[in-house]
Amino acid sequence: MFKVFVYSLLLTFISLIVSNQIISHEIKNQTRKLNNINAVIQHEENKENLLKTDWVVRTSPARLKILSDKHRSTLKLSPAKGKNIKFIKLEEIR
Amino acid sequence: MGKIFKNKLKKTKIIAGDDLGVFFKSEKNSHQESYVSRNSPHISKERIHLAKFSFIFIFSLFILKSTSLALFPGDIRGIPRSIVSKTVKSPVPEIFDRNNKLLVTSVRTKRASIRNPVNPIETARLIKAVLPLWDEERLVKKLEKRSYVELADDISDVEHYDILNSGVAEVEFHPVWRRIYTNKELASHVIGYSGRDLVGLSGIEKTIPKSKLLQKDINLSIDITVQFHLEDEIKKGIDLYNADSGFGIVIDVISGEIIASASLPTFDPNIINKNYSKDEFKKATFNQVMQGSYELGSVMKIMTLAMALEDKSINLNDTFDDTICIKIAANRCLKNYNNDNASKPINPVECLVRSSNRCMAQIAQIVGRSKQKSFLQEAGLLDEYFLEIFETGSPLIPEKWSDNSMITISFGQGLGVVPLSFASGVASIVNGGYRIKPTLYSLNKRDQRGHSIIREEVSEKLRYAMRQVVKNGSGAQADIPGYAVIGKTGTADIPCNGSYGGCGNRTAFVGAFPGWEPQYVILVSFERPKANINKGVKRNSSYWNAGPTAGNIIRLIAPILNVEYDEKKEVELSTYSEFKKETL
Repeated sequence: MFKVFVYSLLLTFISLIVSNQIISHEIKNQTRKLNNINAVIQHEENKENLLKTDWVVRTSPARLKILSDKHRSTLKLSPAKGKNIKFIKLEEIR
Repeated sequence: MGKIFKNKLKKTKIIAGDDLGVFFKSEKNSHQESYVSRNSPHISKERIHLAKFSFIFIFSLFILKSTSLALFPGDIRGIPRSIVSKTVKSPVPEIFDRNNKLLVTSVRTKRASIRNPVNPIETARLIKAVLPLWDEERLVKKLEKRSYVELADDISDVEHYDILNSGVAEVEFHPVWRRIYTNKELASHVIGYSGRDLVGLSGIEKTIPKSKLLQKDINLSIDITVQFHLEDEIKKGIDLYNADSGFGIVIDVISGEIIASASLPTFDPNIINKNYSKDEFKKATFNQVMQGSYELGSVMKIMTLAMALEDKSINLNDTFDDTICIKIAANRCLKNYNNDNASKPINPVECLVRSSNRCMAQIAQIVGRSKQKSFLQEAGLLDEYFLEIFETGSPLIPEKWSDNSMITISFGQGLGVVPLSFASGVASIVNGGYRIKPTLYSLNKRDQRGHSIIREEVSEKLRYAMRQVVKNGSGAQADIPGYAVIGKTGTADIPCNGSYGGCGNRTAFVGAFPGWEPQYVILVSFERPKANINKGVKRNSSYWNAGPTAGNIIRLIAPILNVEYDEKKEVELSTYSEFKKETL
């Protein structure tokens, strides 16, 4: 009876070691995958950030002014004038 | 673990491990001793059972946990630290303007460095081929002297690839964050700049780590389009009037939000650490609006008039002799600007329209110096102004507030004020008389008016008087149809070598729009502007420079700020009829 118990104990040990190895391998694998995904996300976010920044730089007021001055003859753009804006009071709508 | 079992034969309770007790007890229990010696195989068996069950219990726990991990790997709690450290979020928040336009962001770049090169000369030659900005000899010296040399910050992917293929084995790449200021020079004094590794060195950038704002993105009160027009017009003004420098500010009179703040010359925070000499850096980074302290000249007369009307020392029907001599030195009488004296007695509104120094001196004398000082204190002009950024100046107050000081301060000389606090003071005068606290953070136009410093009726009188200055006086060039602009001009001598005169002047215009219910205050100033006859600028007074520049700015920014346009509306004294308009 005692022998059976000892053998079963040994078997349990071995199976535990094997299963722990499998699990640790799986964890490492998943971690690597997670790292890769993180790196891709990071790269994409950085790209998005750069594009966003690039867009803001390209549409900055100073740049738009330069473009507007450059194409003034064809586009005839000018700053908004107060008299061109109609202010509607809430009472008027009611 | 005292497992209790019963001795069936003798009906005595024996606890496992009790036999060990005999070694520690001085007084031996003869009864238990005899039991142990008689039943030792039985006790050994019990112990084995105990150990067996303990092992089985512990291993069952292990097996259960291992099985659950194997079956549900997604339930692994906690992410390794190595992964957390690689998160993509910038450690410093992005900064936006009041309309959510991006002003500052962070991007990840790489820094290339080299550690302990085997052959510095060969390494320098190879590096020079891919990073041509390096001087080869300088690099060799550095490599020979130091074990670690930084080659380049913010390298591009192409440069990264080139360096990897250059054949230098000792090169290292470190990921670093870099702040990008999308609008370059715009609002640079407010936003500030940062050094290596996102360390804020001035402006809002410097305050971020010390405030609770580190976790979320920041919306400033600045409107970047208004900021552009303000800076652009002041820049044009500096060129046209050949001025040394200039500044401007636009404040919401209800919320205290700083809509735009410009101080020229300015700087590009993206390259401040690289492309500026020491002198340029010092001049460009000085924020005149918030750090400076200047005598702004006749714009101060608004305060003198407000003080006297609030004190009820005068009313709008009182008259003042503009020709009398007010002694400011042993044998010197106070002069009006350009010796322009009114031939007949004039009322306080005319005093402001004519910008009479003599008139204001008389008003100050009526009110008295202690009341003058306390009123200016109340209006916030004497405070060491607190704002959300560190770069704030303090007023230059005379050592002794004498009668002479009182007279000169009444028309804007002898007291240096921080332009931001002055603009806030004027906002408090025109918004119905309530003190406002300027802020750089967006409050969505929330009403932040504090305690009252003047009565509503005094505020209305001041608005009326300031409107007359723009309609009929020195502020005429700032009069933009449809907004009934109110304001006051000022031209002050710049002191040098302990006296006034001969060192140029500082011109200023402070105004508000729309005049019938002011929403925004604007302050524009130039240092040492000159006449430009070829361009139609006949003189160097504020009428010719600060006034028209302010007018141009109002024309451009009022539609952007949704200010009501109405050509028929005027600034009227509706309630207070004591004033005889025909005297004007």
